[in-house]
Amino acid sequence: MHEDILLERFKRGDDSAFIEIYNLYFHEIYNFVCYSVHRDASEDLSQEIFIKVYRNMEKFKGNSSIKTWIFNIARRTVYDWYRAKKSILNIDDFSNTLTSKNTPEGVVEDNEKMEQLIMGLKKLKEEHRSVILLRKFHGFSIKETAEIMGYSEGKVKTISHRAIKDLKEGLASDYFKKEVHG
Amino acid sequence: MKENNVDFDSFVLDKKIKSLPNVPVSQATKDRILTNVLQSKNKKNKNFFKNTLEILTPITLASAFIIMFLFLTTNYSIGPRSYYDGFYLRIAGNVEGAIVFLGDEQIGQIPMLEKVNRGGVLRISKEGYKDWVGNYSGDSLSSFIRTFNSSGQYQLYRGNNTVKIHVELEPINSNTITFYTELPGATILVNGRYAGLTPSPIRLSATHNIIEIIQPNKEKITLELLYDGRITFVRETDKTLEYTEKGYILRLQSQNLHYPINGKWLNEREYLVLDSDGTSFRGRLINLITNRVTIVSNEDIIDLLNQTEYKKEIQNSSLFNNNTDARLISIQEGLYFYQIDETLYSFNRKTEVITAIATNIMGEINHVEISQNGVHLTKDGKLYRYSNGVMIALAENLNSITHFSLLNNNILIFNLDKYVEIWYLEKESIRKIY
Repeated sequence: MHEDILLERFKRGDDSAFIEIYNLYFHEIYNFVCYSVHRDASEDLSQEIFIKVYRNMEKFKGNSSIKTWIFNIARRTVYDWYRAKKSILNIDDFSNTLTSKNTPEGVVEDNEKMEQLIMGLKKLKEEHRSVILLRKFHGFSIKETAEIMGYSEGKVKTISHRAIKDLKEGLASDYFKKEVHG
Repeated sequence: MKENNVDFDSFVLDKKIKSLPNVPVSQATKDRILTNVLQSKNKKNKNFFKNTLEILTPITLASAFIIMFLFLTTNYSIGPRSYYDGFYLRIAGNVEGAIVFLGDEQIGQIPMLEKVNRGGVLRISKEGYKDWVGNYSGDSLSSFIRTFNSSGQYQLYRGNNTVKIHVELEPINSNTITFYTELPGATILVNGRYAGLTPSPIRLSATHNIIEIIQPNKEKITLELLYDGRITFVRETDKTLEYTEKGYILRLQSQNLHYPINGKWLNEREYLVLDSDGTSFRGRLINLITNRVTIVSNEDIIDLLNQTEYKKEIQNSSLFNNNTDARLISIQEGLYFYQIDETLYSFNRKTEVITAIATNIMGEINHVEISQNGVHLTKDGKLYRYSNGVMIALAENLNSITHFSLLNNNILIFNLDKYVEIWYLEKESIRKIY
């Protein structure tokens, strides 16, 4: 109900309504972007996402929650960025980010398990990573994830299953494995 | 040694972690982004002209293409110049340089584009190819499309005021020859191999071709043809090759079969034989080296070899008056050979001595020649050597021997099959000459 009021206010030309929405979702979107793309691009991409939200919110009809709608824009913007870059994060970019506190890896540098998990996430395919992030760490339901991804619920379930499997295998070869230390 | 038992399932899936840690971002960054977002509305307006240009550019390009197309079609006849004054005829085809006629007038060469404003017979001609003919009436494209007709191969394309015909000219089969004989069904051999029956078209692949046409009770016809893109006779001849759309045609007339009557060795490699078909005579010169058989029609030679009248005289002479059963067979160097019942006699004209040279011969002897090896004779189509009372069959695979001639120990044999074959028996081996 609160969202409806914000939307109505925005459509009447009240930019403070947009600022409220921005403050509500900025951090979640920023996190999603940071875990999805290279750190250098995360600020620009976040800005691009909110510009799209700002420009298109007048046309938003409220078929889903504003959060789902914004994440859909975020997901498409991240995909566009990958297509434009035509590359997956390379290991050099990745290693540079390890020392920064403003990266997911930097944040968890004291937690080795979490750090390994983030590294594993970044190695996944785009859609696999997006589904895991949305489902496991942003708390979206299957239905909401399907709306954001533009997939059927069945496909989201399949991708989620495969993504978990890939993540597990990727980690198993690194840290989450019964290793033998001398 | 220590095992690290960190387990993925318990760490990730058992929800020990509810969410990933927040990535810190400064308030200044957050504010800067918000400011940029809020200002983006104004930037959008500033892009108005840019956006307008983005729309206009494709329109401008399309317009330029249309103007260029119109320019080319108008000035370079790519398209119609006028919808009312005739139409354009574009002719392409598989043979460049073929001449195109409309009626009697030459209007171009393939490939061509010509404006026409009348109907008529369209003919495309090129040496070595069959003429392509089509016809239409009227002076407009629509009437052309409605009335055009051709038995040749073509594809028709219609434009606004242009019609394109892609014609396929059919090459004349310059390596094909058809032989016509009085009666169809004569066997054709090309370089000794069966090639078909007349009048089937025969395709020549070799450069030099020896053609043999064989039919029962007719003389074999032998021709030598050269194929080097076109077919010609190797030697001059009175025969004429016709060149038609179906290839070459040669009409042949076969002579009635001539049988050898008499012969004479001119030297060790040439034998002259007198042939007769019952009403006329001719000579044939056989060369054993080249295996060439040539028809000769020298009257003197024919007279020399023709013993018919001579035989009649001898038959009626005093030698045979006493023996009406005696039958003169042949004459060889002053020896008359004749048969009475089962005995073969010779009469030496100089010494007037009569000798019985073979006895107990059943059947009628056709030809006799004598040499140091004995008496050679033909009887019932077979050749025998008679020596010391013993008859030995020679050239046993030949069954219709009509004539033979001895040369030293070798024998020239004439055998009737579909035509009179000529064989040469040399020691133990026999080879075909004709």
